[in-house]
Amino acid sequence: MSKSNPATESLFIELYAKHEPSVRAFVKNGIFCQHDVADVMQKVAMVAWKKFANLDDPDLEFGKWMCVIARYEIMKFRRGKSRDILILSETAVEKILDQGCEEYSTRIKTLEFLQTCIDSLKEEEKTLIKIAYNSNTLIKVFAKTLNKSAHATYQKLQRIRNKLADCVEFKLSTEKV
Amino acid sequence: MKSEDKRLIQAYYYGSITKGDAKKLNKLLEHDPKARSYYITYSAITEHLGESMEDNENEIFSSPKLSFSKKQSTAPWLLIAASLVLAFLVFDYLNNRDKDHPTVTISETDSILNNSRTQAHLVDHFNASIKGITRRLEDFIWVPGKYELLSGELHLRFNRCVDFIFQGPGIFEIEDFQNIRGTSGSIRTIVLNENGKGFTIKSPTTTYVDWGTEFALNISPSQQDKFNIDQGEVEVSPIGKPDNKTLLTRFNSSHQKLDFIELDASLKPSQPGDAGAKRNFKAFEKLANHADTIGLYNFDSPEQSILIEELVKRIPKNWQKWSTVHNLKSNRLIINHAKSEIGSHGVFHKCHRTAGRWPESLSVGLPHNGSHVSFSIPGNYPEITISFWLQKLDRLDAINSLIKSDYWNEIGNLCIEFSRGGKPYLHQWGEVSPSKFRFDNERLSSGWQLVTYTFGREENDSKSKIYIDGNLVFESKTKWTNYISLGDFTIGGCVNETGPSSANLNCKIDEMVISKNRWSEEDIREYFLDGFPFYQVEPITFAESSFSPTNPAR
Repeated sequence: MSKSNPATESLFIELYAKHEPSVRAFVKNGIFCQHDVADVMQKVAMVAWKKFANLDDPDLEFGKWMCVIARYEIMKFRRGKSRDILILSETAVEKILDQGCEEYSTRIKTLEFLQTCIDSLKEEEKTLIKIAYNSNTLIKVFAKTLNKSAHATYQKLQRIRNKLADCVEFKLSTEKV
Repeated sequence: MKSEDKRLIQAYYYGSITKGDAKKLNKLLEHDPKARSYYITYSAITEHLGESMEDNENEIFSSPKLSFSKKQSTAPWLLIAASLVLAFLVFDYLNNRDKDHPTVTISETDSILNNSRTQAHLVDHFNASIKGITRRLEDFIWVPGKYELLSGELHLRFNRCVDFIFQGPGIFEIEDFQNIRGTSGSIRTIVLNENGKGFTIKSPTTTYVDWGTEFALNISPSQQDKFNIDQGEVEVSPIGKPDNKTLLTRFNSSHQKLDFIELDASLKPSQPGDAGAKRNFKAFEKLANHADTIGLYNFDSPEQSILIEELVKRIPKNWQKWSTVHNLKSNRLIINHAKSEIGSHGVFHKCHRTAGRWPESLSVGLPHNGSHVSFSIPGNYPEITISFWLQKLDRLDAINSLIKSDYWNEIGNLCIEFSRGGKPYLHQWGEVSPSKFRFDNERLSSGWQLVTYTFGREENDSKSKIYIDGNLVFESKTKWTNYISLGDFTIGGCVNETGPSSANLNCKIDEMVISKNRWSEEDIREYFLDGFPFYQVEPITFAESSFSPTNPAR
């Protein structure tokens, strides 16, 4: 953007705040490491800001447009990496990103569905994922309080995550129909 | 969608996918839109799960049923945050309008966006305690700000181009990925590539601009900075006098006399790998004192002060007679550091000591046909763990023996070999066709790897297991064997009753641990992480997935 004004910035920040979680999840499709996701998101934000003025209908197009930028940045990032450390092939990632872009308008509801699916978990399952994802308590310490092995607790956590994935996937597929 | 296909995607996100499965996963994702859809959903869940729980942090214990309205309430918060940033922008814009800045430029927005960006990655740390930070450092985002390191040391990497090692106690401030302010503490800076040139450290008295180099700096509030340059060029200038620059190199620094810093060639703060070495040393000490440890070998040279006569009393019996005939040199001995002193010292044959896993440490290399090290451990052990750090040197031969009992004549005798491709194989005397299960195609690669063997009863069976880098790769049930009896045994080679055969494992070995209890998978993983040379964000996907906030494997 050659020139900006507070109104444009306000709109950009508002749209960015709204779409950032979905776009970050989209970036995660092509990049495994959390730090790398943060870096690529940064680049996406910068490019989006620079080109924001070119967007005809920001309200309608912003999310999908960010995905297009993110797709380019992800592929650029991956090409700069040694092939040995990339598990997924370029073709696979390209197809995933294409599909992610196409389904963006549906997938924006993922977070909403995830919340609903978490609501449907048992209390002990909710507690476990809270401990795992959002506390300083070590899993093995927590496992001891339950008189279970850390390994069993990890397995349980894995099963909960799978259950949530199935639940969200089901809701999304219903939404697509 | 098949459950096997889902398992591949789950394994990828759990960081436990094998090379063989990775191929299958790629094929699946390239051809199956449903698999891609599941992959995208799984990705979003790993990314958002933490946030979703954070939103409900206060409710999860108090409210038996979470309501969706809580989630919806995040939108106003986002708007409030956006409004605050906007207010700041407008304020800044109005403020600067009168100062020859007629418009808010891209750079101002850059800085706002940059503030949410991590400026550095943690490479490693040792006992680092930072004032005001209670969360794990592995999960910490290094945003601009002041950090007071109360103790320990940190190894950060800025923008993938500068390594910054800071030893506390001390204070440093990250201004951005290229500018650091230091108030006190010891620093080593290494510019790794062109992008890092210009990395600047400002002490209270001096500015140091790094033009592609490695240098050490000690900042003390009450004294002059102490400075030493190892490579390249550093531009130094007193604060407030940028024109008074001096370009220092390793060759001219000894001739320079600067009144604002002290040039000290003896300055040697921590270097890359030291944090890991210290962490590993601590783990090694703990193992040495543990009652269950029966053999602990790091392959360092015996101290010169130890008398050879004292050492030979505790070497394998079949070597004791040779010790007098051939005047066994003490440098051929591998010392057992276990306090229990159950295992013998080792004696090496056709081997040499070579660089170990840590700065200035040693390992043993087994490069020749017949290279091996002899040990002896008396007794039968219903449970045992034998762990090695291995580094493959070159291509492997057809037979590669890691460990083998010298005599092959009784229950409990053990042999672990690797195929030419680096897959582990297990032989146990008397077990004609042990029921085996190979979990995946994990095999030896070129870097240092942790190979761990465990034996013990689980449920109703005695099981042997082999792990590589903490991942279970091989498991077998034994029909007759209820204990392991190593007796005289060899590592790295295959000694038969007729003498050493030509089979050897073309590798380096470091830190061998023999424990008379069976380590759990969790114990092995912890030992692996403690002993890993660097906390590397990449390319070690195992470590990465273990530490990642998306995979709470801690």
